[in-house]
Amino acid sequence: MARIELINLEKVFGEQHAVRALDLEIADGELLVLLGPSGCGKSTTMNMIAGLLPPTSGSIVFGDREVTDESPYQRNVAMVFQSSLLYPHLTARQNIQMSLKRSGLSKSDVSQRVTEAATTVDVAHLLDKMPGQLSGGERQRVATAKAIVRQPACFLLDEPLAALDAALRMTLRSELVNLQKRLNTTMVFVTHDQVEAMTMGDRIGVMRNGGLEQIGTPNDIYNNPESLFVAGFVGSPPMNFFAGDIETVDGQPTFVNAFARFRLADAYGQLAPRSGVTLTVRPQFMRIVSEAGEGTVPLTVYAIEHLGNESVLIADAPDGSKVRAVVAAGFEAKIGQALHASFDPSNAGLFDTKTERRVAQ
Amino acid sequence: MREKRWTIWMTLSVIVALLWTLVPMYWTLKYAFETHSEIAAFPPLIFPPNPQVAAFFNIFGHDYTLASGQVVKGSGQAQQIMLGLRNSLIVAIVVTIITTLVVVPLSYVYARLEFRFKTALLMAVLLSVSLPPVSTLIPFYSLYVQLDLVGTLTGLIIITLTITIPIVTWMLIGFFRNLPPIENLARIDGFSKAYTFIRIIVPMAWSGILVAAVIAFLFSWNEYVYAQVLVTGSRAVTLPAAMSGFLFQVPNPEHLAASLTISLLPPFFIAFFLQRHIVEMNLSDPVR
Ligand SMILES: Nc1ncnc2c1ncn2[C@@H]1O[C@H](COP(=O)(O)OP(=O)(O)OP(=O)(O)O)[C@@H](O)[C@H]1O
Ligand SMILES: [Mg+2]
Repeated sequence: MARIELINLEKVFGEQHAVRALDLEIADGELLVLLGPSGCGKSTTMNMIAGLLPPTSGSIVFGDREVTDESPYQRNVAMVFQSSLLYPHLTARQNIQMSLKRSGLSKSDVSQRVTEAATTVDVAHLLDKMPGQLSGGERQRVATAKAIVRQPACFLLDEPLAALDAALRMTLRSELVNLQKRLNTTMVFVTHDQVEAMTMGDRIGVMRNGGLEQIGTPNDIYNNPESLFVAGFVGSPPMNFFAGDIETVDGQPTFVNAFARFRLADAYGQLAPRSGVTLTVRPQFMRIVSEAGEGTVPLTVYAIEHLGNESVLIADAPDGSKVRAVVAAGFEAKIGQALHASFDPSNAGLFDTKTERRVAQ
Repeated sequence: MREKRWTIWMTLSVIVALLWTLVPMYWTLKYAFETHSEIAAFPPLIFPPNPQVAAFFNIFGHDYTLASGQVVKGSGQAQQIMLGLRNSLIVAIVVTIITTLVVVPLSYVYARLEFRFKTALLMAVLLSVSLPPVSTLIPFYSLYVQLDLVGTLTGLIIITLTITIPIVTWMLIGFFRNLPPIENLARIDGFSKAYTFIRIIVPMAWSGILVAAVIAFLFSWNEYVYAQVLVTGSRAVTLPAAMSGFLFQVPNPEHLAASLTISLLPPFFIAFFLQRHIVEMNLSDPVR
């Protein structure tokens, strides 16, 4: 069991800065999700934590022990790779045993531990099959059994569910969280799927271009994104953005652009006029109204996506940007129909368009 | 309608390709079972009227009495053929073993590890693949004269290796590249590079290694140009070189045909016993 600390970690491949100035602390027993788009350095970070890749600079600490120069085996990490890599020429049982090959345990201890691990993830009946004979979900479970049999200091999982279908991913991700909580072992989970991140993580670290953009609980990340990138990356359907300026109208700071003006929430009471801001509103907070009025945006209906319990209205704003609104399941509108939308200003976020950072209240 | 026409064309081209390869082989086989006069008959016979195995005895130096009582004399070339058969087997087996032992680690290192001058060294391999074998023959010959390697099996094995090693390396590099990143898994499990290679990579890559060995064997078995120049007429003669001796003798087509038939046997057996493997040997997708 270990607390993991990354201190000013850097990785450079030739010209490419894959990970830059990364400081990160993972608490003992925590499930941290690293979330970010393809190529942002998640796997590189993970491989450095595992000891598969030496950092260019910076250090890695497990508990109180600096492990930067230790091998993966010395660090006692267990890792599940993309699409749950297993030794293809060995049976499930042999695959799990390989994790204990160097442990010096007696034969009977090994076989007992293998059976225990296999039972924990419900693959005891599959132990004599080859990986090629297992389904994607079974392979994932065997890979998990291989990881837990070591009783490692931490679990590192690099997009283990990426190749599976949606229903299976849902099952397996709750299984993984349940297992992690039962074993109370630190886990780092890499994904580019924000739903996976939101549902699994104790905390989420959002990465971008090799750096940590924001780290916090799923609630934090969802409700208080610190940057436009995080605001846009997390949440489904995705965030609405409105570009404009801040002016003072009737003594109140007000967001203004060519087709809309919104009075800002009272929390922004002292905000001075400025140009180049972006207002963000979650689709869940958008309300469709038929009449234009104070604080409404004119919209042209583009499409409606039915989700069963609710629908998502997608519409064009006058500047051509797409605006999404979650509406009731029975909501009807024709493509091309003109509508208006409004929202409670306390649900809007305000960002500087250039720095992409949140504007202080 | 379209599909039907396509099928017809496909069937037709398969038939043409089959005839193209099988008819000459059949003709060789037919000669091997005919007598001198049957071969000389005009118009040529499609089937041997009384198939007999005289030629197979003759090329190993035995006389053979036909049913008619006529005695067919053993071939004067028999000594060479038997030597050739033995030498060809020795050369092919040694070449296969050495090629496999060298090429498997070599191509693995090229495919999976990073090191300095990798690109330059890869280009060197590619260059030796693309050189026509004949172009190295003269320098090798003069070198061999000085080293006293002309007319020796050692010399032939060395020169054959200069062809098989680069070609098979080039093939296997692609194979190893397509293996999943299994080394990372092995490092997490605490295995050394050597253990990983011997106990994990080699068993995983079994089918690719088999292909490599088969290609090395067939190449060496069929090699004629080097053998013709380096070992013809010596005690190190190989089967292809020995067979070519028939061409310069009193024409004895049935003897040439019989020894050709024998030389076709190893490739035939390889194809027969490994057919399932050969179909499964998918070099681009090593592990399924
Ligand atoms: N061995 C390497 N050599 C050179 N560049 C590399 C190497 N490994 C990764 N990179 C580069 O570093 C960057 C980060 O790669 P990384 O694999 O960490 O991304 P990722 O966030 O895991 O992406 P994905 O979601 O696609 O797996 C990428 O731009 C990649 O091209
Ligand atoms: Mg990755």
